[in-house]
Amino acid sequence: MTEATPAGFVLAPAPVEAPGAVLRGRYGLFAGGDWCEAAGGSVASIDPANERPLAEVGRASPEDVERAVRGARRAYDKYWRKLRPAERAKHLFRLARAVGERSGELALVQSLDAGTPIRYGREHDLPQTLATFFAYAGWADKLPWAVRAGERTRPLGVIAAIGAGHSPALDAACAIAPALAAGNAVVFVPSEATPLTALSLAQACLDADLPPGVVNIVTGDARTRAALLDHGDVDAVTLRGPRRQCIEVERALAGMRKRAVARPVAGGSIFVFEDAPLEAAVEGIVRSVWLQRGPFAPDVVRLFVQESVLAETLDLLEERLRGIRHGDPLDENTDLGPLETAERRDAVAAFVRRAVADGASALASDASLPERGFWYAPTVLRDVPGGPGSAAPCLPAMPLTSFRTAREALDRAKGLGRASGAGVWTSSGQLAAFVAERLPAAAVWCNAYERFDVGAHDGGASGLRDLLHT
Amino acid sequence: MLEARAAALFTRAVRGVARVAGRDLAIACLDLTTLEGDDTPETVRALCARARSARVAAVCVYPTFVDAARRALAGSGVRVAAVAGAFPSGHSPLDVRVSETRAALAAGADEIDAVIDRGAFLAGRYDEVAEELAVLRAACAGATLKVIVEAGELGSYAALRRACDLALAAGADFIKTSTGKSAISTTPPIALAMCDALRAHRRATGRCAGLKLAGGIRSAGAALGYLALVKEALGDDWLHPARLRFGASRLLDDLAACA
Repeated sequence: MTEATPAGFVLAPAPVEAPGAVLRGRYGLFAGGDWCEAAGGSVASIDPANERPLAEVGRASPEDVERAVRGARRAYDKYWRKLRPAERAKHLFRLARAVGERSGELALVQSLDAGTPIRYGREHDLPQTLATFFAYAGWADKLPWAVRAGERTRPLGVIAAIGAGHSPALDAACAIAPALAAGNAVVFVPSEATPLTALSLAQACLDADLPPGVVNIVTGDARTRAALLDHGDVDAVTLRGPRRQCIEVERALAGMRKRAVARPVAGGSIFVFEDAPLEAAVEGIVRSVWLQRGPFAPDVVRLFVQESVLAETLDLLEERLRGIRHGDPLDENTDLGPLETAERRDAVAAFVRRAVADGASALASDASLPERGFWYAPTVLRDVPGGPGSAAPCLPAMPLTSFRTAREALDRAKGLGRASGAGVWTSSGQLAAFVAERLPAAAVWCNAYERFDVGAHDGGASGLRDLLHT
Repeated sequence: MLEARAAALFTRAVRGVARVAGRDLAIACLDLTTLEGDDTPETVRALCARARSARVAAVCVYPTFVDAARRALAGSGVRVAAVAGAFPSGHSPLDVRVSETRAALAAGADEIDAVIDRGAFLAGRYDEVAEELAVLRAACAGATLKVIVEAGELGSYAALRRACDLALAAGADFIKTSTGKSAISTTPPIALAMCDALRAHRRATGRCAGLKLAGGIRSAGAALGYLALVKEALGDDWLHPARLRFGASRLLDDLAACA
């Protein structure tokens, strides 16, 4: 037998070439159909993978917000609302194609901006982003089918859309595309942690010759958002994000003549029963908890594993976590990038410290993480004490609890509150149905978790109804 | 999940020096194969000459050509593997399959590639399959036994896993995907499911058995994809001819042309 050298076969870094070229050094605000300087000054947007500044991004002051809303109002009143639906659809299809033209660039920007591994961005986020634009372009001239029979539809007017969370490209698409399809003009405020992706999307609006002011992208912080919520000419505010943030928006709009379309995304649990194919279950858990976090993925808040398979599941989980490749988000072989901000990382670290002080044990993957950047290794926490606040999402740290019977698991999951989604791993259809019927969750995935599809999700027809007067 | 992960691992970026190292590794792990009805001692000898110069792991032939292959490869370090046991169907009485195996070993085969009896397996006679494998294992004591599960005929990943578990419990040195004669032979998810079985076997017994991927692997790109998959699913310990083989007749040409 000949000698072989396995050591030579390493998955060496496969970085994308010249990623910097997709960014400008400085971004203003995209308001009224063109770029303008922010009166509120600017802040540096930081690369979460190495803490280096990527670009200067404008911070919109109340005057800037005023200008953007005025631009949106003018576009809506003078042009957009008067368009025939079929003409509006043409604009939206053109926008979708323009986004498609720039999808390679957008994937790169998102990787720099949010730390999303480039491969995941290219193969998942951007195709979904594109699908979202196309899907809603298709809705633009079919709105009567998005509401109840006999209802007449009228756009709301100017919508302020608040971006939240990760997957900024898809987040922006899901904020902008449905609002436009319903005939509204939009002022979008991306998450301050990841503003660059949306700003690159503005370029696609220019490419598509979208009527000036129909889409405005305004970057800023809490003050910017507050100014937008307060603005008298904003007709509705949309947000899909953590429950806390949704409540804040609803509270801010209370008593004002504005519609709040706030969709809370509340963390769910995943259950692993003893008859589940464990390797597949562990793979599914690793993907849904750590690798594939979309804007609608309810962050998993708890793993429940049946005691009879606990040891094996933990073994498999530990082994699988060790196999995750951390590192440069622009490397095609990277599975997991950094968190978006230092605050998030510090919050996770604090959560883990507190849990360990309270008697939990932490099983962390022994990955060697880069020194600079907002990294936190995937961690499984055993024996996290219950009580209020224990259900707070703290990814990439994941509390894991064992259970003996389905009823016991259900009782404990109910204690964590209502969830947007949950996952059940079992080979028994009967058991899956038993759990799904009793769980306080909007969706229960069996042997899967968060299968996002713009055509099937609640973002489809039912979501459009909220963006229309009927 | 299996398919999603297999696709991700199979399409890892392998670039630069890793490509060259991967090519060399794939050649070192190659079972250069000819299993055609029109094989002759002369075609086998020609294949052996190629095997010798490329320094592959083994040459895989029908039992009747073991003697010719052994002579052609004498002193080269390339091993002789024979398919035995009513290849490719396994539908012969057990004693016939055992005596075919013994004959191949007597002629000088170092390794035996034997199929499981899918007829018995799919009919649910798992004990019978296990017993037959035990008999075959005993018949080739001292030689390397590769058990072919013919994944494409088993119908599900769960059944594939069961077949792998049976083969490993019987003491197979390698589990092998396919005879190369069925419509579906080797795919990334099949390879990954078998890696899972090998890992579980190591966890339970401490023994590291090998994996042979055979059938349909014709391009260097596919070989590199499978190497990346095995590397990440099982680890570097498996990147060695004692633990990993590619069974292929045409792969060598593409590997040789790959830089």
